[in-house]
Amino acid sequence: MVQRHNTPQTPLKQTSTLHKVLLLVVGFFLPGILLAWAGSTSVKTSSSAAKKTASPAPYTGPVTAIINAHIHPMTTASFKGTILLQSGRVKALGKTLTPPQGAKIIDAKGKPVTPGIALSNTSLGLVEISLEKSTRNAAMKTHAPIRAAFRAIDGFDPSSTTIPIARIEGITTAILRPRGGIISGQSAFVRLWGLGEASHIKTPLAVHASLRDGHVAHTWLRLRQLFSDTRMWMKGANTSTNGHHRTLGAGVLDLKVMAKVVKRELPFVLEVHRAIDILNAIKFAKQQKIKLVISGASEAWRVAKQLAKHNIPVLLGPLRNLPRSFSRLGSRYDNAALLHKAGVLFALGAGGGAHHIRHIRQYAGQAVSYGLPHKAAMKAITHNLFRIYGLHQQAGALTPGMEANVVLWSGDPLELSTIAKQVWISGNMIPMRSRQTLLRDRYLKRLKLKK
Amino acid sequence: MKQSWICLTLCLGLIATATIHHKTPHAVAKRNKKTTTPTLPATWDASTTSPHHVLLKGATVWTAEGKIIPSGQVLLYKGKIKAVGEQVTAPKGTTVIDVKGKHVTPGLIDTHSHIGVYAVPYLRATSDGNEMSRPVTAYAWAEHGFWPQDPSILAAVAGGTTTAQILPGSANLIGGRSVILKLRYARSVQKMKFPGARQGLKMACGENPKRVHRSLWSRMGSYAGYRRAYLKATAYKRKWDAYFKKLKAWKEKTKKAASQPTKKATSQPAKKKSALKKPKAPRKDINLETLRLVLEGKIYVHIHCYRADEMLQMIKLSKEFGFKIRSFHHAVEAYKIADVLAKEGISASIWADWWGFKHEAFDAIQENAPFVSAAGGRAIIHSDSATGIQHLNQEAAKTFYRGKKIGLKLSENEAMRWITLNPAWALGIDKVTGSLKPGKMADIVVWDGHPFSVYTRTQMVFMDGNIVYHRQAKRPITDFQVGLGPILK
Repeated sequence: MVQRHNTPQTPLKQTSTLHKVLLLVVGFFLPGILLAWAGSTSVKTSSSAAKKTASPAPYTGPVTAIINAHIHPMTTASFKGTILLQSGRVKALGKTLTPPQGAKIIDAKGKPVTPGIALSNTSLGLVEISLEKSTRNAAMKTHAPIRAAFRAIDGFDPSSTTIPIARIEGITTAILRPRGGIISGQSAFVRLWGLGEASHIKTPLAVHASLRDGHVAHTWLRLRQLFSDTRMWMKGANTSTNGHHRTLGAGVLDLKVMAKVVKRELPFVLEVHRAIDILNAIKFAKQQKIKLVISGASEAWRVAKQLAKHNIPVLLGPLRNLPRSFSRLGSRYDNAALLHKAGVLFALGAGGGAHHIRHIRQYAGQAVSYGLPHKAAMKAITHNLFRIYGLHQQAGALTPGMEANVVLWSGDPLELSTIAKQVWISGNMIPMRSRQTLLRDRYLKRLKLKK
Repeated sequence: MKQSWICLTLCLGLIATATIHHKTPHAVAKRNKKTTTPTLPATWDASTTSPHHVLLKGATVWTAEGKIIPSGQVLLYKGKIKAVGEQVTAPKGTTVIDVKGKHVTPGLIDTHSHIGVYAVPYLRATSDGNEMSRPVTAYAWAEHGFWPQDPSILAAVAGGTTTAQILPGSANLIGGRSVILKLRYARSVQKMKFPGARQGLKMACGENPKRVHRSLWSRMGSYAGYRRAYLKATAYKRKWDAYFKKLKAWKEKTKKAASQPTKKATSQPAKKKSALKKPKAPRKDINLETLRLVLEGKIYVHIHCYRADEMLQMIKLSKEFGFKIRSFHHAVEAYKIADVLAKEGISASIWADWWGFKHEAFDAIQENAPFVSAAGGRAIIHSDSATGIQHLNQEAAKTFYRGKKIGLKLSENEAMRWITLNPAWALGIDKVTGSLKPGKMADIVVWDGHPFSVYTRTQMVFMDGNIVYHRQAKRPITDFQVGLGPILK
């Protein structure tokens, strides 16, 4: 499949020493780092984000050309043709595009090319082994209910064993979600390639909270209290030197972060399942004038109209049909299809964690079998997450200027027989192997199963 | 087309509801009569089974035996499969169901489920799967913790699963006896029991028991725990064997004495009386009784075990005490010892791709079942999940295609066996279900497309010849779900 006209971007060899790896990573990522820096500056002034990306840095360096591809850009119509990647971005695409001299040519042989999968609600790089405490960094190790200052990115290991396993399945970007408490902390949006800031898309991304079963009224009280305290603290900080006039329900670091929520600089993501709680959350968001994102949302289909009317986006978990708790009695497999029908903006997720998230394509396929149009399902696992967080000018589609997170599939991306043949993250052609494929090959050899 | 479907089904439904009494015990029940353990009996019978001939016509027929028939026919009669082939002869009056373009497979079978014992909604009240009071609870029976109103049961049927082994959890070294059920709506677990199927024994090694029990600090303690239990069981069995021997001798003697002329007997009355004294049975031990039946081979052994080296340790244990392991469950590292499993005749009940939630699940690969299969062993895809049991076909498909991609020699029919005939074998019911073969139970799924596609859903599910699920016309619910539909509009 891969024709190497010239190979400026040799995938990492297994035999490379750590030094070599580091050098290569740094080498690969200079453009990526620059882009991330450019991205982060544009995000700070969110209103000017579109303007900034409209006049991007010039395209330089090696070009990758994926030819004979069935390209699904997500935001524009699908077509058969060529896509060019350069400087970590999509440079151009078209039906009759001639790759420049010296470009690395990949012949897709008519197979689908899509944006990489973007996943919400993961612990990628935060957790290695779920049951081993010493490998878990997704939550604060206290019982404190308000943890707004906790940052998921601080625990993130871009070299985690969980990452190659996820990305060879076509997952190129993910949201790292903090866990625990009423306010769990701040999430981060990362790409699954590169060390340090090279892997950051946006951090902090949002503040996460959850309405746990049996704690509903209690949580609403604490949230009202917290927002009230935040506003009071904000006033105090602006008007007097002693800061506040009553005992506050949260620490100063937490209040600083909550102030960003109040000022609509950070979205507020609330995990909630019951229909009534979703309605209450919408009401609360209106009162507090905050940017609300609903997560979980097992019964969202019951209030789809209201969600659409108020433009509240939803992060769905894996599709379920069983009443797993009394807050999820209304779980049904066509939740996604019904939200789509009502015009709600949603992204499909694969549940929390760092391991089983690779089931995302299967979940999306199941959603299709329960009535979600195929194209909507594809958007729900690629484009929509960026749109929900206002980053869709930067990534999540294959149009010129977009971050080159690209997957070449062996067939329909949602079908069980399909694998990702090649994945690019920020234009980097990633090695298509993981601990698991290496272990597989080791035993394939040992047992001599292929005759 | 759709209308005729519904009509046919409704007709069939009417036939099915007409009660016809015929007491034909299943072959398996007969075969196992001597060996079945004194469990609460299965009270299921085929009395509601349609007495009419039903012909499924025109579908791709996955027999799970030798081959897939591209356009075949399956004839059902009195709860059994009467004929399978490209063309079968159906008598006059046969109800014909046109399933052209669809796929017909055996009802799927799951060797590892906790539905009913860990029922939804997940509450303290519905958590009855682990008797964690001590590490060895061979006396505990899954059927006594089973709630037949768990919504998961009928959801599993809607996904094409007709039979499942319900196991105690894996908290204990020896968790207790499993129960094999036909997943049908019933008011008691007895009404769901697979006729004649023997119980299984759930054992667990690795991380779970030592995490749960304060009396276990290491895998050393766990292994000693199994040995302690089986040493006791061996001694217990010896006692009972001696008693059974004496009892047999006594029975023969009394029989002989009864047939002797009375004259001789009266001449030496005292001596004769003592020789005829009935031997006293040893005291029954509720825990060791289960293990005695294991040692006799009357209860099949299912061991929750992830790591390759630990599976080998358990094989060693089984040889020390002389019992057979029927299936390793989860067996995330089965691929590392696929050759050994094939040689020992132990099946591997595994997930397609679960990994990483525990250290012992860290070395998972996505081609585990294909490895086991390619090495000549029996691979089984199990669910261990109330969601996974609703699409075992997809789970098998995922790992099947991964195996194909790396060039392992596998057929679609073989992959179908991972969720039908192989689990039937592991549960000891492969003579009566698990494939489409004349004489077997008419447990059948009609799919609206290729069963290994993510877009395919079940169209109809037959159990013992009855339609128990029909996508348009019959979607039964358990008591728990009654009234929820209108409330949640």
